[in-house]
Amino acid sequence: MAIKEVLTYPNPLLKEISEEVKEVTPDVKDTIIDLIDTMDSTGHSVGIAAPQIGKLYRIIAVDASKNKKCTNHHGKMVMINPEILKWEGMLQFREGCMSLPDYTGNVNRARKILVQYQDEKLNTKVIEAEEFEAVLIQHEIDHLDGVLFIDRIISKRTDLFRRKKYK
Amino acid sequence: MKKNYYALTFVSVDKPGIVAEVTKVLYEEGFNIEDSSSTLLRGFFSMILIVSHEKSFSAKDIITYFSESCKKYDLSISVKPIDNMTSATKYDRTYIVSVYGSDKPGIVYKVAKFLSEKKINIVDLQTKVAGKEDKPLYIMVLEVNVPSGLDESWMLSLKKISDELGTDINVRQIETYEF
Repeated sequence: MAIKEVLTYPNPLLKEISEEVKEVTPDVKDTIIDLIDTMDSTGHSVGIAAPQIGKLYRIIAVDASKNKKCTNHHGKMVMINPEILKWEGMLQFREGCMSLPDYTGNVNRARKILVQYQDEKLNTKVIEAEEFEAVLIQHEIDHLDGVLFIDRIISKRTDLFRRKKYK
Repeated sequence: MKKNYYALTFVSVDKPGIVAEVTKVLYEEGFNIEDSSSTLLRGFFSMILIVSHEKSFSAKDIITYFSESCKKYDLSISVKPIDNMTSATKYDRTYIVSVYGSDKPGIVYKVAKFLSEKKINIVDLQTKVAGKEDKPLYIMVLEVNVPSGLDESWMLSLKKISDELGTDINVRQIETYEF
């Protein structure tokens, strides 16, 4: 379909709660294609959520395989109505976000998650994701609830950094 | 439009209202706060701000704006105009270095001297003395930027310095992922 512009904060759509997808309408289909096209078009982007392209659907696209250091992953996935059923452990990453291009921040996330979601035909699936992929999915699901990584930073003094370089 | 930048430093005994007082003056005189850091060091208030303004001022002009505030809060102020805001060195890796052990003079200096010789840039440094009064524990956490081309042997050399100081050291790379 098309490579869409990624909305940046303070666009109010980024703080909205997205709607559950109950049927695959033509607009939902288009959104899925646009999400994948937009994610694939930027070399460094490993994930994107529908609100980031202005669509308030509970849909995310992730591709942990784009990170060469990530060996344990499920490849490119479109996840509709994703829901985390179980969290385990904790790890910290310094996260950046296409919607907040000027900052990075240290965020604590679960090391391992069990996620239930629906695929593009609305078949229910459950996967276990770990490490980088788990963090990526948690970051993207947050977008569906209007939560940005800066909302999860614990200490603004020690955990928020002005981005020092652009990839 | 060209912006003029100034680094402002404030130090005083801590009490409520200092930040409001300083930022009120900045707001009223038309300064924009570009970056800031404020914390208590052993209970002493300290704040550094990078501010900008369309107009050019001397350090003395800016100090005059704060003369009343400095009297009111017994604040020390220093002002430095900044000519160049950008750094020319290219860095491609960021590390967090934690050094901890029994408190003794020279820990910061010896670590910083070594990093300086390797052209490793300290971008953030925090030190704390914790533990009991008769058994103080020194903790230093640095965020450093390592220049392109430097091989990883600097970590081993730093470990050796830490051993000589009798401290423990931990170095970990920080990777930033854009989601």
